[in-house]
Amino acid sequence: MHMCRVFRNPDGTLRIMHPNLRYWNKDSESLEECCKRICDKDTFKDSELAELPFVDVEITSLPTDRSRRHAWRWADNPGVYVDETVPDPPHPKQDQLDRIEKARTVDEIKSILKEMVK
Amino acid sequence: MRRFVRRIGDIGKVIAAAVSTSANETITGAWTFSTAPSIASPIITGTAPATPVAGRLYRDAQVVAWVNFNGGTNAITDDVNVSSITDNGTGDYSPNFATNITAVGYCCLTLGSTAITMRIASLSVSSCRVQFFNEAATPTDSAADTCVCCIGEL
Repeated sequence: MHMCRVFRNPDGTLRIMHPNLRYWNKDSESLEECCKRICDKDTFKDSELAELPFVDVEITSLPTDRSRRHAWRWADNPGVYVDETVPDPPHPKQDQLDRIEKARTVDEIKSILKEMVK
Repeated sequence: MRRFVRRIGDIGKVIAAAVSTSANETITGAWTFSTAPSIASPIITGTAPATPVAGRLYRDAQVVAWVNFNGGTNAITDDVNVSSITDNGTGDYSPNFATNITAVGYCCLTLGSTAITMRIASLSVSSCRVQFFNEAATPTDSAADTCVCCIGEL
C-alpha cells in the first residue's frame, strides 16, 4: 500500500507528507514499510512536524479535488474529508474590491485604480 | 638457483607495490589520458574562494538537492536528495531532504508551471518551504513540472 502521513495543525488544517517511492528498497522492505521509514525520518528531522499528531493513511483515501484544500479536515471516520462549513479565505484584495463596489463617482474609481497600478 | 628465485620474489614485491590500489599516492605534474577518465563519486574538499577559479569544482557550490514534482498530486517525477514532499496547503510545499544540507544559508530556486509568483517561505537544513500564487496573489496549486533546486554544501 502507498501510504502518506497526515499531520493535524492546531487550527485543524492538515499537512500531508508524501514519501518518495524512488527510495523504496524492494529487496529488503515492503512498500508500506518504506513509506513508514521515510515518513518517520522526515517527521523527526522537522521540529515543527515532530510536535504534531499524525496518522498514516492510504493515499487513495485523500480527496482528489483540491479546490477546497484549505477545508480539508481529519476525523477518525471517514479520515480526511472536505469540511463544507469552512468558509473560503478572503480575496487578498477584498478591501479594494469593497471600495470599488461602494464607489459612487468617477473620481473615487480613479483613486482606487491609481492605487492598484502603483 | 636459490639466489635467482629470491631475486624474482623481490621483483614481484616491487611490482605488487607499484600496482597496489590501496596505498595513497601523491601525483605531481600534468597527466594526459588517452581517453577521458570517468570518476564515479569524487570527494571534493575545497571551498570556493572569494574569487572562484574558472573550471574548478567547489564543495560549497554544488546542486545539493533538486526535485521535479506535480503540485496537484504531489507525485515526484525525478529528484536528487529529496525523500518526501509535505503538502502544507494550497500551493504550499516542503521538499524534505534525504541528507541534510550543511547550513541554512543555501540558495533555493523554485519555478511553477502555472503559478504567476512564487516565494521561499522558509529554509532549514532538512527542508525548504515554497509557496505559489496566482495573479490575484491568492495561493494556488502548481501543476506538473514544479521544480525546486538548492545550491550549497552537503
